[in-house]
Amino acid sequence: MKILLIEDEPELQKSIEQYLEMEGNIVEISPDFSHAQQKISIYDYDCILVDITLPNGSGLDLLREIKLKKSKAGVIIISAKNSLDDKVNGLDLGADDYLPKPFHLSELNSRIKAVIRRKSFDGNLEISVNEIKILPHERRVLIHNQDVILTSKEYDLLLYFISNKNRVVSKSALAEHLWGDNSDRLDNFDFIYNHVKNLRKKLLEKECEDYLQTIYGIGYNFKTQE
Amino acid sequence: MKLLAKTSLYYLILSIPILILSGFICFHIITREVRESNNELLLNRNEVIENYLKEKDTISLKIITKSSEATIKKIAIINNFKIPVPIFSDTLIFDKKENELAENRLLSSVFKVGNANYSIKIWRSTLEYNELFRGIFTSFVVLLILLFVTYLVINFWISKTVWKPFYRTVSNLKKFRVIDNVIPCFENTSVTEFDELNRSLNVMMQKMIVDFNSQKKFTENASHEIQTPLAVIRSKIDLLIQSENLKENDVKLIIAIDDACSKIIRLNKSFLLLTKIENRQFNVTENVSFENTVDNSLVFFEEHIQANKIEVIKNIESDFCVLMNADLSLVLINNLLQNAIRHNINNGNIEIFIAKNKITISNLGLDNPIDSQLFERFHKDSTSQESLGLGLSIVKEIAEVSGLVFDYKFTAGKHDFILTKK
Repeated sequence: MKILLIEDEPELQKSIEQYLEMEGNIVEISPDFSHAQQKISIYDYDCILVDITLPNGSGLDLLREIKLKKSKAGVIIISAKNSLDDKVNGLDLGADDYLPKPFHLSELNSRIKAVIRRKSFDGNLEISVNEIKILPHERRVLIHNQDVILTSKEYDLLLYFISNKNRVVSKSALAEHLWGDNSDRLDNFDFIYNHVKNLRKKLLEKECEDYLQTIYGIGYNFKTQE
Repeated sequence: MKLLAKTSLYYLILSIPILILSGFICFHIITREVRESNNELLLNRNEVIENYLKEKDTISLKIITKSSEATIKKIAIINNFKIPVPIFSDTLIFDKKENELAENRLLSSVFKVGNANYSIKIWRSTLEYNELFRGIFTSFVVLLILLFVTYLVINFWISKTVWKPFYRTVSNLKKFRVIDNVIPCFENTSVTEFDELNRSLNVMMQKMIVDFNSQKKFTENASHEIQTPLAVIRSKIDLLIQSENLKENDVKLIIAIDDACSKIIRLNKSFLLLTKIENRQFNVTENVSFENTVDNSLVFFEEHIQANKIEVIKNIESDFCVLMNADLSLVLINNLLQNAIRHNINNGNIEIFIAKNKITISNLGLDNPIDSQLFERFHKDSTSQESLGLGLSIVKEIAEVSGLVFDYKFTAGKHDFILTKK
């Protein structure tokens, strides 16, 4: 996938680039408004990540240009302002998602995938990982073509793990993904442990390979390759 | 005590001794004047009698003694008799007309004519001092009452007219809220002091608003500026944990950093939320059904409620509907429920009561009421490590901007958090 990252903070550029490239994505970086303008007008991308506050311009204006170009790229606003107006304006202007800073890279990655899924096949794309098949529009999971009944949280976890497969996902990222940042973390960590335990059990029951590795103290890794 | 009542009281207290004193002075002056004029009169008459005695005008003397205001007696001559000086004295003499004893001024003297000595006594009825005293007393009491009534009337009028701008200023002050960013309009008055008061208040309010806004701006900017470095830290932690060969010690360090980082992030988000609420940035309103909101929130906290073995008792009389921002209503109920879960006891319960004008969320908890300071920022219960200490102040703030009243009650181990319509 080809991703354009429009962000002015160098260290954040590096982090996002590094994380996304792990999966073989091509990431191009625009540090300012005019540079981004050029990139958008010349090239096509699968996904564009836009910061709202940019040197010499606003990300919202870039959104207008993307829209004018009738680009097929999925657009995610990444903003430090976390303001309702920006969110509403951004989504009105055709952004597909809004992710306030600070975020977990795994969250960003799963949002990118969700947006691209929605864009390319109207959400009717199946996600396949070896014997696991997910039908996102139905929230259905099949293993060896057999249905697995998961709770809503277990499904969310599985999708999140698969979006970030072969990477370590921290418990705090999982907690934020499931509950936002609005409840007790210690409790949440226990719940995550239980959900993951149940999820793993259900997957193993259907003779799924045990992909989920527990990374001591930190989180989990859904490992599909050695 | 009202200013008017207070000044009137002082006036009354001070005027009583002054009036008593002046009553006494008045009484003394009158009696002295009366006595002096009587003395003079008696002396004159004495002289007349002495002249008659000298001239041996017995007829005139008889007339005088007949009118029974004088007695003239011849007294024996004693050797070496020294004629005494005339003496004035007060005496009671029976008044036949009034049929009572009356006060009289008496002059007794001895007069020598040739070899004969005459003792002369003449008198004259004077004022009755009791009556004089009573008269003065009565007139002064009447004076006091009249003065006091006049004073009250004048003061009443003054407070109605002269103090009017002052009361207007007070009512303006009562209405003033720094958060509204509006300085009340102080009208010009003809009283210098009030004008000065209004001017200084105006200056003070302007300064308050400027200070408040710059402080608010500062918090807002600080919170926003912190977001980007926090995003960098978080992303670096996410990359760091991808490393294959982390030692156990490294993991502990990373977890500690991640925990602290998450805490700052949550804190900062709460600040931004509070600032936004204060700035009235959630101005899109809709008719929010609290029954739905509570249900959504209960689903959200399902696991927390189960894990803490808390029983939820819902009692819905009718739906509580409020025209407010939907996002804020969810934050409001989430915060209240989270609070009720966090501070509950083992195997405790949460009661939710919803009526037309009221919603109450009660939980069992500590055996003493929470400090009202908990509604302020950063006051927290020491037992909860996870709490940021902002939950209830966010609830309070949301209630305030949404036209709700947030109340807290404690009865025998049960903590009630109540929202009512204003």
